[in-house]
Amino acid sequence: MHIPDNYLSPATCGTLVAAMAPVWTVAVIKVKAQVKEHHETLPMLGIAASLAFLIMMFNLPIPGGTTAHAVGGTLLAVLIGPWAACLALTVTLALQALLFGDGGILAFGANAFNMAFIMPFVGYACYRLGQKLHHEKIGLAVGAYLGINVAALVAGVELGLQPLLAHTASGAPLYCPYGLSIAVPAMLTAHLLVAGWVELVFTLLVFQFVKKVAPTNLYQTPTRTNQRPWIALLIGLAALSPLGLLASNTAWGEWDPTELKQLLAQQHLSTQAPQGMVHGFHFQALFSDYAIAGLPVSVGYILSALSAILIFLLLIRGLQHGSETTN
Amino acid sequence: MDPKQPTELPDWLQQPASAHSQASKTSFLQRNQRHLRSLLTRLAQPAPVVKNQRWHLAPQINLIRLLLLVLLIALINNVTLLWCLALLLGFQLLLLPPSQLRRFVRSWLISSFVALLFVLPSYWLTGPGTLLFFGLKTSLMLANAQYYRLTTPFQDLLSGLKALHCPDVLIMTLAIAITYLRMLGQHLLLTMEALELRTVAPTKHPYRLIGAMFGNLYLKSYAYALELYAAMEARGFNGHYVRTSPTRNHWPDYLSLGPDILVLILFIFWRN
Repeated sequence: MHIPDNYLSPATCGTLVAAMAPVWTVAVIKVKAQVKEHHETLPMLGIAASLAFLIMMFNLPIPGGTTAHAVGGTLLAVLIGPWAACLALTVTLALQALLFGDGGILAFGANAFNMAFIMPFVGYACYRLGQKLHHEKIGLAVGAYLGINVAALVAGVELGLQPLLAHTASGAPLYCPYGLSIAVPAMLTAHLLVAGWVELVFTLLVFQFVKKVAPTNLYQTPTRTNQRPWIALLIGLAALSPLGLLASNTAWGEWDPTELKQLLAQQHLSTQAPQGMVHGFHFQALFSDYAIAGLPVSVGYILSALSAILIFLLLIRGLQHGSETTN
Repeated sequence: MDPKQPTELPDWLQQPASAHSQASKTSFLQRNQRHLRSLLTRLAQPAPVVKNQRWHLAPQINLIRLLLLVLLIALINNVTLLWCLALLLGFQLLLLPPSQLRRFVRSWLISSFVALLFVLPSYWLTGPGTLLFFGLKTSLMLANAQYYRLTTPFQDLLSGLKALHCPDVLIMTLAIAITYLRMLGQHLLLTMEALELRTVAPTKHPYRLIGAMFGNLYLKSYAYALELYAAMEARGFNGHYVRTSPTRNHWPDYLSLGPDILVLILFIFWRN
């Protein structure tokens, strides 16, 4: 799954580095907080990175006489925590790219996005869900299988988008020459049929061993978290929600029939909007286009965002177990 | 007293031992041992890094040059400019001793072959032009990366990252990872050797064995982490890396970036 250099365009690589930048920042902050409680986390990060390196180079036997290797993203997330696993896997990928030539230097952001972010977090989310439902092993197995397959799917999409994003005037691809119809099935088939199962069995067996021998060495999810930064972030995003109004045109694919008709006419494709759209079902929302009658559009946006946040928070609160008592 | 004893060995001892190697059953253990041994040898005796004493560049400049070159090669679609970049690398390679040059060529060819293997089927999709152009660019990128690996010691990589304001946590993690990679690898190899020696019958569930092996390795690494933190604390570790700023002349650094920047300028103005 290590994408080498020149398979992705520099724009894709830059975008994925930019996408990873906040993840790395939050990971460093979270790990620093984790270190305050468990001092050994600091050196454990480096040691976990070397452990991930060894896991990735260890060939596991698969039926048919060939071998495959696990990545260990979900396993590390369960053993040392998802944020620490993200940093440890990032360091492993950096080591592989800079010292061992496995994976590209420019594609480092893309590889980190797939293997250090998507894989451990998808895996860990499934594990936590399984833990809440009192079936942690099933959760872990599903997480390990899903984690690697979602990462492979994303890698396939990244590769498959290249002929669309970067090509010459004659249409010849400049980077990965395979489109989505080839890249995605190629990546997914190998992972759904082989690598996913290898990852599942490996993760489950190592987890079982550690849980049996030293259950206290597993990562313990913090019970109480400070929710203030999240609330501040949500309110901040709600305040910034009218930013989209700066753009004058309608977002792609959100045209109404009249706009679509104009666009089609401009591009000499058709003089009429599709009949299905014109005569289809049209729902009149209470606050159509986030606008509230009598108020400026930007205020309508902010109020809509706050209302949505409040509804979701109330829903989550209502679904929580009512074990806590009020003082 | 010289007892006459037969000097010849019994027949069964004279016959060559034909140990039945369970190649198919244990091959994955043997194969992994081989890989691990080569990794450990590589880590224990890293190839001597060739440094040009006259043109010793700052670590961060080396890192920036590598990133700039890889980015330029990815962006440039003009064959002449790519040729210029290849010539630039060629001149740098001339400064390498013959043994290093041979190492470079070997590993560059292998990595280029592996990278191109996945793209070969595109010959039937897009024709030979795309394949050749893609191959040329990929090989050039890999050559630059390989040159960096051959000419930069690990310590310089850390110093470069520090100079580029990479967070201390990441630098420390990198430093610990490379140190403990050898220790954990050694431990894993010994475990595999012990398992192979003790195994008299084919393993029924190799995955269970592997699970126990890596579970054990994780617990060992946890113990290492505790010991390492105690040692770090005892030595007064405060979580910060000291950034050394030796008083040196920076003009070779800026001069070394010159050709790359020239190609960048040519790329910007020659693009259309």
